[in-house]
Amino acid sequence: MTPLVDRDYDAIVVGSGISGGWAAKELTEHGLRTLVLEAGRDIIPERDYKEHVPSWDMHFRGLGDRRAVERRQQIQRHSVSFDELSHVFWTDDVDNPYSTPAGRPFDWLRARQVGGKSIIWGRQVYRWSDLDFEANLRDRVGVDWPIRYADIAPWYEYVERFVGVSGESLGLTHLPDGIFQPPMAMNVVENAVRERMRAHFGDERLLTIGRVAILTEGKPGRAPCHYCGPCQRGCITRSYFSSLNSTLPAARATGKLTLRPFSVVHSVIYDAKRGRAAGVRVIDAHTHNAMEFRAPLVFLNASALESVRILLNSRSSSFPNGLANGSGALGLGVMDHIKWGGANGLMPGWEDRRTLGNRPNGILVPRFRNLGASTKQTGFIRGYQFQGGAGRSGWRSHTRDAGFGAELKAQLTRLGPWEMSFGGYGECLPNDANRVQLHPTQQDAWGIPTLHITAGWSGNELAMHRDMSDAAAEILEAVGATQIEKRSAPSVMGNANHEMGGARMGRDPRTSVLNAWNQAHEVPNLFVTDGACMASSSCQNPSITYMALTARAVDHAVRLLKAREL
Amino acid sequence: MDRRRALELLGSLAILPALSPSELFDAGVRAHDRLAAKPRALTDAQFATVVAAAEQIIPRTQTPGATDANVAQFVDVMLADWYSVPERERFVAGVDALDRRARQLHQAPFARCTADDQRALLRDADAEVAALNGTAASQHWFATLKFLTVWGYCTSRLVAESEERLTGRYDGNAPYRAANPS
Repeated sequence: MTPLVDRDYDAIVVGSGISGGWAAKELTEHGLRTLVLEAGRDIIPERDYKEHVPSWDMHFRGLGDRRAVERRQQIQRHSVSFDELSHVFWTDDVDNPYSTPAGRPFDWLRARQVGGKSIIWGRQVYRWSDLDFEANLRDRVGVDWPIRYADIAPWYEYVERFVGVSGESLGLTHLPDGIFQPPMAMNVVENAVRERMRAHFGDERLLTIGRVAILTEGKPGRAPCHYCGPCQRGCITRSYFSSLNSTLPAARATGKLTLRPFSVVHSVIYDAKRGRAAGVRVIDAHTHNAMEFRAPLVFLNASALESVRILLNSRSSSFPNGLANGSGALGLGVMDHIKWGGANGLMPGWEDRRTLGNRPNGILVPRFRNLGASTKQTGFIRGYQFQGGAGRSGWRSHTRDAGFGAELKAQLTRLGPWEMSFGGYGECLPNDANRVQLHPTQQDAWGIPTLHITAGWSGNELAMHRDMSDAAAEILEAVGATQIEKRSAPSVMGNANHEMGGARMGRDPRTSVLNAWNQAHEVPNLFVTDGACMASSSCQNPSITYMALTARAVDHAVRLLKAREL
Repeated sequence: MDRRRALELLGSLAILPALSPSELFDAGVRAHDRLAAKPRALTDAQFATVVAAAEQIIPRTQTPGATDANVAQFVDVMLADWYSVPERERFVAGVDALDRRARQLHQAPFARCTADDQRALLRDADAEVAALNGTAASQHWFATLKFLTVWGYCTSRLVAESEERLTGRYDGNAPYRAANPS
């Protein structure tokens, strides 16, 4: 195989998802000729988006192509966003294998297409605060974040203005307000629960509508949400933020963008003489030919574990254990949010009310544990948030009812009682025992070594998970719910699809991979600005933080380039 | 019945006559005739039994029933393309047994039995499901038929179109009145 050396660019971005799209937009808007390499196919919304296909036009009426899924997507199907139509936005598990130790499963949920997981993400957007950025130092866990809220706050604002976030301001220090469009509406029962919680808990436990990257007011080229519902199948009106809908078109408009789909990045090329990244090695997804692309600036945005995998596979005599891994920290400290703790209960009343339209959003109860002395827990450190909502069940809850005939038929048309549910998202501690390594022999369909993922919940997460169910039941009881059911089993790690860590930021090059600017300590022209960079996990959905860190890192990289310091 | 008519009926108080056994059988034949090809998983006789049984599970009342919504075609698609071979065989064996029992007791295929006789036979099947628990219950052929009938009916264009219609907005406090049993 003779590698082709293609034309030069000013910058290479690996990945076109939520953070890669931001890197592309910012780099091109600074005038840099930018090559975005995407492992998967191109997406043409007019052809590939299916959010308005009605149930009767689906071959399996929403039940999915079970046989194909069992053959090719045994892992990906575990995503909450995986369905009969959205399954095409998830990877093929046969072509993209990975391994885990026996009895320690990890759901690695992945997307390979232009737009990446930004097409199928949950769209929840929450600023982190110093409660998060100071947490490792305070608890003496992991490494101290090299940044504080003040460093990232202007960048949150910068990306929020472009993204379009709807939500309600609360004035909380630990959940900072952002630049918000008008919030989506809560339904009649959620409003009642909010008032009853206020009466019972005061300000200690609040309920608000989710802050979500979905427009409630139009932006240029993007219409407000029309409440059709299944965002995971695409959004032809570009109402929710994805790189495909927003940042990539902005990058394209500069005339500086080259986007190359079907480009599986194998590794980063290291120039030992200059001590810099020289470009990347790529396997063409169709031809399996190897080629190289060169640029003086490389951004890795392949998704947390993929970016770590690329670095681990970038071995040279200078870096035999992976590029920028002099510390040995590469691959360590993989995190995810622990889910499925919580409870649900029936809310008697409001039988003459219902919801109309499909709101792609729920409620949020901001973190209320371990905020200070008065909320300090003995069983665990850090905390969790609840997401959830109220609704009435429909015919789907009657497919297994006893009886048949006119009575069953009538039952199908009746809405069930109102049900309120709270599901926790809990912070996962950075733990070096949770790690990824290159598999010694297994390769993917393109001959690239796969990952061996060794990870699981620690006692802290499990204690937090139990508290989620107790606290949710406590809230439900306080607001008058009946038939309260606590949930018990924790999620499989990875299933929240908030995988973070593996190339953490830190102050000390001996214990971290990236500095305060997401720049590799040891390779100054190499930046990693996806979930791999995270030094802790907060309990809040991480994507907006990746976006803010990416815009901030590009700004820094461009300043260094101009000063000829890269 | 065309879709427009069906929707009118859904929204009106017009009373549809329940399908008589012979009409039901004919409806089954017509549903069968509408298929682009023959059923793929079921024989013609099994298909007729499924049409008749599904219509008893969700009968035409003032509103359309399972036959109007072409539920049997959906059942056939699922058996051909979704269920595993053992699951399909278990289902088909159940349908055949139902038909055998009908011939034994009433000297007629299930699809040609009176509505009362059909309901009595299905009540027996429903009781078998009720006596089971968990997976065993959900794997019983009649549980599968009921699941597919409800699912196929409620996701059919005839029934789902009004529920899935886009309004362009979200109303979290809309009025609701439960329909009377009909």
